[in-house]
Amino acid sequence: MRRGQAVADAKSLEPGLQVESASPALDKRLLQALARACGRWSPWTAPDPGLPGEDGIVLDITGCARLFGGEEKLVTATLEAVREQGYVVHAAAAPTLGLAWGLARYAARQESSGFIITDTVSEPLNALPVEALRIGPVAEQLRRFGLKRVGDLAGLPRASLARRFGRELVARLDQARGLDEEVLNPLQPRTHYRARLRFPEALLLLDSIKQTVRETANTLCEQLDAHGQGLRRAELNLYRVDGKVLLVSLGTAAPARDPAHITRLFSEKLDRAEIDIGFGIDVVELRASETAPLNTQQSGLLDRDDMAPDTMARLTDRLVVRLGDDQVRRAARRESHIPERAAGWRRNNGNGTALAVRDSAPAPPLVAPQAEIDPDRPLLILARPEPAQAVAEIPDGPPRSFIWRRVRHLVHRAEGPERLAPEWWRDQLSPRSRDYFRVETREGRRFWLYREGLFGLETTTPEWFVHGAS
Amino acid sequence: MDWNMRSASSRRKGRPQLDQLRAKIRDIAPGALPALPAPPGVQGQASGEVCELLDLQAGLHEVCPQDYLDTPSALAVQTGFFSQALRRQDRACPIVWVRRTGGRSQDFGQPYPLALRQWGLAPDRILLVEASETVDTLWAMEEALNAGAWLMGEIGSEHRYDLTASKRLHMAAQAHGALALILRSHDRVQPSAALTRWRISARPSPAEAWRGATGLPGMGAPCFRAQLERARGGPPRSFDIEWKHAAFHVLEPAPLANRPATDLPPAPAQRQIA
Repeated sequence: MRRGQAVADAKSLEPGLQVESASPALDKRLLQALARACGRWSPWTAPDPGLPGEDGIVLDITGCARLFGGEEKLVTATLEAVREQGYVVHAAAAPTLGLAWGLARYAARQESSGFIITDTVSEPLNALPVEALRIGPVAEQLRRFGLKRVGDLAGLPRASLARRFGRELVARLDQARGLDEEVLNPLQPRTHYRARLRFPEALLLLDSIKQTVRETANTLCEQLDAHGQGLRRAELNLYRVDGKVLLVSLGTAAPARDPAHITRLFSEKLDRAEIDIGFGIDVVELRASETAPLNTQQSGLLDRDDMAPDTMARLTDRLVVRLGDDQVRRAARRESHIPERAAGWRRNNGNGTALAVRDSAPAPPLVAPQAEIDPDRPLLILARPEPAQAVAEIPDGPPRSFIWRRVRHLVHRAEGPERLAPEWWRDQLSPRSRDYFRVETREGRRFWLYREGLFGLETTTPEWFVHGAS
Repeated sequence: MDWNMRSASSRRKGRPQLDQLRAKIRDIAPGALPALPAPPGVQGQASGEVCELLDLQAGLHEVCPQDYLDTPSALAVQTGFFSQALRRQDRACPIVWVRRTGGRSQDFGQPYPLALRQWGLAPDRILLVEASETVDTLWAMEEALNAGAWLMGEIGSEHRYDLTASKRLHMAAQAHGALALILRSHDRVQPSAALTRWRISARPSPAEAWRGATGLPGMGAPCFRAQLERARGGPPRSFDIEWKHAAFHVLEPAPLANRPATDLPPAPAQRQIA
């Protein structure tokens, strides 16, 4: 098996072959994570995506080697750590970035240790093949002219090289030789957004704590603003004088960066949290534990939604903070025909906007508008169907009267049955079919009843349940 | 004696103090007083006028069931009124539905998202909020109105929902041109600052024989008796309405056609007008 082989050919060689499609984005993320992990040897690291299987990580170890007892020890430790994760790696340490790149990819493979460390530039560079210059397809052109090694280019005039093969070749050559400077674009360290206030005198009043929350929120929002981020989850740590830390945390429905809003949420939370201040609090720290990109939004000209989207998100935040997470919910539906499973109310998951007005809109109907396939259902539905005693003329007919909650109702109109079979693929105890009837009583009140169990097939004494009203 | 004399004289003069007071109130709250005192208890109005009544204006309105068992019907009428008013609106505004845990309508269950569409409400616009305390319910209602949302509300217990609380809700709704529609319980209804209060009871719907189950006729469009118990600037009225084609229609009295069956119970007695 080799690289570039067709899948069909490979499968004919090895029938049990598992085929996975490539996902460059995931590879890139993995490489980035690996580069971040290499930050333990040098703070200046960057991923260097190449061809599949040729990816690299670049570390600037200037000044770092002595911390690990020399360059050799540093490179060995790095290689061991990466090999432990199951990767095949080669490494090179050289005075220039271009030379290290080429050495790691072409020369280090021949070494038994898997790495090369060099202090000189010209000698190892001249021995490398021309592909090691990071010039891509130009290398093939060079090979056609018989220029196979970098050393072959050494005697040629720069001007004709640039004219014939492009300026990039000369630039790369200069970079590898160290004649031209090359700057590494390192990974930015992850920023932690936090604001902290320390007091010589401990705070004893809740009002003064709220005041400090306002000040820390201002600082935090400035930091977030500088990076274009918004707050999704915030933690307020109150350090008590006796060393105990009180934690108050909250989440927002949409990324927020408004200090007034954050302060308001926290003061509402502090009022209800009943925290024990004890002998006082001397450090207040506000941390953004989860952030999301938040750009300044522009309202559309033809926007039918008259309300700014963040108004609704803020309303949701305030309701959630005061009433609790489970008390603020939105409609949700599921692929099921059992009524209590098919639709219900789910807690607000906060995926951006409070109301899924915009996200739910674009999906075009495939067959018919949803309203037409919606079955006829009562306005109110009981979470748990309640047993009723019903009288029917024939075993599988509609009820003529029923007693529910000790009140007798006479049925004057009825529609049905709508037969719903149990979902056999789910674990259920003795699943039975339901025959639903929509009935109207003599007074005009409407109920939704069902009979559990098919008469004669599943049971001889069907039971009746009331499941909804109106 | 003196008091009698004065009241008699003021009556003769057309009660100028009362007129002054009325003018003052009109200055403070325009539209709070009827422009023309209409004779109370007029039945058989023009149908167009009644349709206007069914279109609720921005502000606070209330719906009460006639009886405990009429609570689902009242909720249905509330939903219908709401969607009717929403449709007149050319913008799409979010809806906040505030309920109280353990409230009366909770006895009959939760609103069912699939059915809401039949009553003209898009379920994905609704934020369902539940609170266990009446204070929290009222707070959530006011917050929602101040944020610019429309409000469907349910007052579980009547205490704390007094003139002040309802006036606050009304002002908040009017300031944003929103509709606040609140379901109250059937008993112990205290006065409030709502624009209208409707008392709803279910009525038998016309039979549709071809849709029915074995041995029973099917159901027609849902019918209700709506008593306009209280209306600011108008007399109380009572009429039958039906929900058809996503709107409420007034059923004209037709003594011969669509006659009720003989075994119907007597129509519920008219309540004392609050």
